[in-house]
Amino acid sequence: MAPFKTIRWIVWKDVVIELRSRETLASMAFFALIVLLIFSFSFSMDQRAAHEVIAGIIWVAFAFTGMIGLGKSFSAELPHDCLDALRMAPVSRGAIYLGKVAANVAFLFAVEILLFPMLVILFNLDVVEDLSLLLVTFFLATVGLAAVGTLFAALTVQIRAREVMLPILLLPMVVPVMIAAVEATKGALNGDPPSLYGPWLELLAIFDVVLTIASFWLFDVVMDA
Amino acid sequence: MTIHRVIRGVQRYQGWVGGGAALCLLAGLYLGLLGSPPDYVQGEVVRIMYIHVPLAHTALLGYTVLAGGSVWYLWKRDPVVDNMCHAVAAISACFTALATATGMIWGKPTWDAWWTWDARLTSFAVLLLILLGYLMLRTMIDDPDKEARYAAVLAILGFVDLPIVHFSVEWWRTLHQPQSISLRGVSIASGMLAPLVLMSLGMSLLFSYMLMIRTQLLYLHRLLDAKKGRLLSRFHAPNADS
Amino acid sequence: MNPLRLLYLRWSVVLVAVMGLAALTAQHYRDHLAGFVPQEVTREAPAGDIRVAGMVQRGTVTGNARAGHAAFQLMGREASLPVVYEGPPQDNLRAFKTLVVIGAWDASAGVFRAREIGIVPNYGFVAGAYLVGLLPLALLVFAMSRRVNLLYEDMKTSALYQED
Repeated sequence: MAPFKTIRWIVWKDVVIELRSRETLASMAFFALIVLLIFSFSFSMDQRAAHEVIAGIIWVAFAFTGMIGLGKSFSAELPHDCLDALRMAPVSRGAIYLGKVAANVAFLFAVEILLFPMLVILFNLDVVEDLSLLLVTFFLATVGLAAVGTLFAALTVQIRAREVMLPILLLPMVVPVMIAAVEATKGALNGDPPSLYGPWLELLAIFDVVLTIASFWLFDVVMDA
Repeated sequence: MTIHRVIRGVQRYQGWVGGGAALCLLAGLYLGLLGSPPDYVQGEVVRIMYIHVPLAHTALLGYTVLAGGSVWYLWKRDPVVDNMCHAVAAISACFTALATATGMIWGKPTWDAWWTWDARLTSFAVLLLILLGYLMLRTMIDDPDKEARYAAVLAILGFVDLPIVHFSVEWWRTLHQPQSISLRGVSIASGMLAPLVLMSLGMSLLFSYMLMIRTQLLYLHRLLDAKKGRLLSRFHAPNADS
Repeated sequence: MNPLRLLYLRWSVVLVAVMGLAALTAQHYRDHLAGFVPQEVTREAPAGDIRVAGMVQRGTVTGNARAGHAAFQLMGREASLPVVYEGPPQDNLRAFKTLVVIGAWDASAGVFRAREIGIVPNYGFVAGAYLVGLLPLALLVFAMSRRVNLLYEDMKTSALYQED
């Protein structure tokens, strides 16, 4: 199974680079923490107010953090012409894309898991009963963000002003993912019955599939020399 | 110096399209402002519909043309098609902005608010953001071939994304305030149909005319750059017999 | 003929047509704009058909406008005007709603006999929407056509680049 091997190698490569430098994960976690702190300063809130806005705050922090991680995943390939090497490698472009998406999802998800206890402490959240559904929400939304984000990171890395262009292009595209993620997170944090916010999870899954397939096909065009 | 055959065709027919647009719009304006009765519920404000709805339709038509043209470009890699896509994006952004502005002017006397988080308004705002991002991306790339490819990728993904945006925003709004202010209850009276159809037709023709003009504009820019030796492009080489 | 001059000519025709349409529209709506406020009616007692704009006072509506006859007080800034409405069925008659009533002042009975009720037109919004919608488009089309003409001129006159 050649494509799966390619995916595995790409993920392995990215994870090893990350484990050796610890650059991306550390900067992402630190940035997200700062965003959360600023939000908790700017809204002086009690627990009830927190329930209303916390889901939004979480996803603003995660989306901005995601921009850093996604941008890094391809700008790290620029030194020593690694991007050209990747482009010339005799493997399918789709496998490269899926490998990059998998690595990005892993990094983003790791940061989200790391930050979640911090959120519970900072915003005095009740310990969530439906932790599994909340994690599913985080995971599905991260996949949606990474599916489009990886394509746009590959695209913006090869143009001028790439740090600015990635969020400008990516954020309007992931509006539906963000809406669904915020609604589902709000439901899970408020302890609503899963049947209330379950449809948002299904919607997220559908978005993930559609956006991944579309990005998968378009990645080939982006990577053409 | 040879001019591309698509551009030659455009030169031949643009006058007819522009004249048709002017005639349809003038007739539509006459009917909309003078020839149709005020609406029973909305009064005179309904006349804003005759300009707002055609603008909005044309903006969506423009985005469809943009996505179609992008697919066509990726298939044939014809630089004139890329010029057409670039032109369509700018015009579509203009139509989207104007549709949003007229919608806001309609909303003030009707809902007593310039802006509401209505599903359509929100989708149009996102559409405008995508189009502006597209135009911005175009300015950030030096290589014309790469510019065309990346822009096409963005346009196609945006086209896939647009129904998703609309669907999710609509669902989000209906969950928050069921039976919110909506146009759906307003039925079209017979007197409203004629100006609406004429204005829609006129706007579509005007859009085609603008598209023809702007495609020529961008094409001539590139061609002139090539002629003056400012651009070393394999597509727009002087004396190329395309 | 010089293509640029032809362009200007074509645009002047369009401009004249639009100006004519605008003049016609302004003419058409001028009649609708002339109207009175309630205090003027009671003070000046104008004769003939007039239009009065005001707000329906709460708690004064009697009768049923949906059946075609009602009486109510139309509030102005200083005074209010008793109105008796006889006409086609109407459902615009609600408390606090700003209305235009069309009819005649009956000085002997001291009431305004209205035969038509309309809502206050918002011509400002309509005119604003048409201006906002059409003016930028027209300017854009004009600028682009002019630019294309200039580019064709430039194309004709510029010399082909020769590599040294």
